[in-house]
Amino acid sequence: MLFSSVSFLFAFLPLAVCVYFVAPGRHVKNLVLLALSIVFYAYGGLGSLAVLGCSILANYLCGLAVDHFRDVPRAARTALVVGVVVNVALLASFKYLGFLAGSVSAVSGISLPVPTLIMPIGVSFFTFEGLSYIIDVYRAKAPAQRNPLDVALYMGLFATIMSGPIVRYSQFHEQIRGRSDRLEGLAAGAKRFTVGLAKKMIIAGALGTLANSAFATPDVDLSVAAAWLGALAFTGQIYFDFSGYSDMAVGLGQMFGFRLPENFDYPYISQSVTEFWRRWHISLGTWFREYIYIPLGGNRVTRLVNLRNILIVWALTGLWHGASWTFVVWGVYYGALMAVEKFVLGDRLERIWRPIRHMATMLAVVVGWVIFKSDTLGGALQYLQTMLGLGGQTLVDGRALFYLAQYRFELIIAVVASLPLVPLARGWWEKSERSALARGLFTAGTALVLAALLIVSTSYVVSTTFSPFLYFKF
Amino acid sequence: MSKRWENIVVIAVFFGFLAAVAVGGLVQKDRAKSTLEERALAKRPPVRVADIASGKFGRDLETYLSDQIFLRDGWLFLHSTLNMRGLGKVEMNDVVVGSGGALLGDLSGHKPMSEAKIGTELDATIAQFKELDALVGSYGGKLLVVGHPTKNSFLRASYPTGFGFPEDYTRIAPRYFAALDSAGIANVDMAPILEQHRSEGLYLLTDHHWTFRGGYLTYVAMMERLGLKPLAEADLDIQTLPNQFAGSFNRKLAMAFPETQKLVIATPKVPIPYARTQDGKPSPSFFKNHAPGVGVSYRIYDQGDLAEIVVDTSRPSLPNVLLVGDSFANVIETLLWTGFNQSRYLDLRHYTATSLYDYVRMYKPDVVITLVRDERYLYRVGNGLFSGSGAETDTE
Repeated sequence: MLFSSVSFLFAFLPLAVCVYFVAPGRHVKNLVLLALSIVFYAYGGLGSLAVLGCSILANYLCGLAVDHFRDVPRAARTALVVGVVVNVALLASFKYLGFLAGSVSAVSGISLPVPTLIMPIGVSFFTFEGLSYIIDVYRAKAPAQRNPLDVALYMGLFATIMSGPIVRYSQFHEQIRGRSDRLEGLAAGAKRFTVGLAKKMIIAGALGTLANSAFATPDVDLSVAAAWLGALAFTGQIYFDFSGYSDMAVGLGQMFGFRLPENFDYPYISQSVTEFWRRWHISLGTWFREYIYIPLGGNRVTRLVNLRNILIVWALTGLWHGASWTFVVWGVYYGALMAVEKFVLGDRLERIWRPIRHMATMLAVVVGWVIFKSDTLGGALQYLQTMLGLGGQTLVDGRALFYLAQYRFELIIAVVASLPLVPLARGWWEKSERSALARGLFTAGTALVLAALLIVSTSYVVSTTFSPFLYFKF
Repeated sequence: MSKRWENIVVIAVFFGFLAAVAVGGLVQKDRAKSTLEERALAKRPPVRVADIASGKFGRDLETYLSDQIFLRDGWLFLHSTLNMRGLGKVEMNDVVVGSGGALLGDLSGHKPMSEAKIGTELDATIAQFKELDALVGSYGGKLLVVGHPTKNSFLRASYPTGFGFPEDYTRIAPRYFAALDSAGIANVDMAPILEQHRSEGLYLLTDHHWTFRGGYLTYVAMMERLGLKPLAEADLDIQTLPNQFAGSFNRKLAMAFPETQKLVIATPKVPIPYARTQDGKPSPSFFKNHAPGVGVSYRIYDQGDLAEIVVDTSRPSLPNVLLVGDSFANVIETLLWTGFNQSRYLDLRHYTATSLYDYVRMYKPDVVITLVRDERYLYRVGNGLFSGSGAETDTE
């Protein structure tokens, strides 16, 4: 079930809020949330639910074991290792087995049989949360849960299970019992959810159509301008789609009293690639820093080891996004760029004129998205060749002009919405005392914008199921 | 206004909206079909453990809830109107807005055929016509191939920047008719004839079919090529229907464009007694229901796309005719029968009882006409497949 589906918006969510707020006491509310999460997850089939259940149980038991053997370091460490191996094995078998077998076959020439496993939805997210649970318990950053249902709520919460944010257990454990779900959170969550829905449906959807069209066009038929528009459109699509979904998740969390971590902080205003990754998919970056980079030694090591750590983390970051060499290359590409910024440019980066820094960063990001979007490395290189005009294609063609005309409003909205104008305006508004009339008008305006966004977004949601035929198909 | 009231307003708007749509969906009666989308809408899925386990139930429920959402057609209309008329988009759902407001098909996904492929396909197509011609000629009958431009082709100058009618299609037409001529097969190319009448509104603005006028001109050209006298316009009672028209392209845009055109139908002024059957069942009317207030579409002509229609006028002195064609033939069918003893109309996309060859052997019509549109000149499926007997995938 997607947040932007009819079933979620007009059945699951209103019912979930009603049942949740009617339920008495924190314990019952948590049970209600868990039951809702199970329904939400089981919507896609019970197979995935069984895998999630096994993962929760394994992490729960490992957490207990780690806690139980806390005074016996070797035993605690063994329990931790077992937990890590179980999680990694689960992720590898469902997500990477085919990729591994394919790669081995390609290198060795031996054809390896690979069982067809249906990847459970959100496996990358809940596995990372499971790892976070046992590692945080091991590090004594948070207590082990005695009640397995609380672990289930942490790992299976419907707001985060599909696409994050990846919540670290140390951020979450106190909220299981200690959160406050009030009117304020419900209202803030509703606003945040609506904004996320609008970002995903109105902006990302249109830009995605443009990007898909450009990337599906054979290179010989793609002009330089159309290739750039396609790449820029994908740059917008992936941001508004993912950040929109994160907004919806954070908003849902707020509705039920949770403070979920922010995942995006206007990444396209970044002045360097390093800054970009501090603002993009923050919860994933933080997870890798906490659980991989720092344990490897982080930057408190020699330059060579630091470089190795950076490349390991970024290769894994790439691999986390998908089981394909394009993702690995994409990750290493960012690792290399960050290494250059850190070891080659260093402080000199700060002295470069800001617009130049920004443009260079965006160029690097756009190139990165071309690699990310392409099915193969060869395809990515060909597309980049076209963007650089090295393939002999025309500079501008009718298709590029059509793209520009067809999506002009979405492209403008995307650029404007990528800037932190809303926080700026909010800061200005809240800076001084406002009259009752002004506050009333502001509330009315907010309600109107909210209603308009909901109505328009709903029309976009329904339109995704529009299936007209020229001739009848009854 | 206090913060508390601000929150209450936001919550009321958000959940009030979700609840209103949800309750509306519960209260309204489920629709069996959508006339806007021309398809059956999903029914409530049965609850089966196996389906829940496999995830099929969830998928089916999603389809059901989406299909039966409160005010579905209104949401679709809002989305299309916002995009096409608000944001000024020129393409959506494979429909392109051409100059003059004409809606056209988006053929940008067309995979062009190589010269070699065109040659091979043309040879195979002509070989098929030769076989049919020999068969019809074996009992003294005549074969006539009538080719006509589609709206996309006829109005190709109307496409906006970035779109167009595929070049290979325009290369195929002259070679197609030259090959028919070389093979000695009687044919009519409607493109130059329709060109002479360009200003007469030959294609419906919001539909992919031609108007009554476009169909009538083709009927006249057919009859004249066969050496028969067509009904003059003066012989027809031509009626402009006041009914609200829904064009096929406009439906794909959820009717975002206002329909200004009206459909025209014609019947002979001097009544000719006839018996008409469609798919074996008696059905006397050449037109679908067009009572006042009823919305109409191009399918009004000869009751839409049917597998087999037989019209018998019991005038043995006149020849018998077989017309094979897709929906463009529908207008012509309402006129053609007036000049024949028995008229048989086949749409091979739907007719599966036997092959065209066998059908011709069975009924030995004096005249066999195949009506082909330019985008299908080299198609050997559906109405272009004479030896098969299976329905195929060409649904346009």
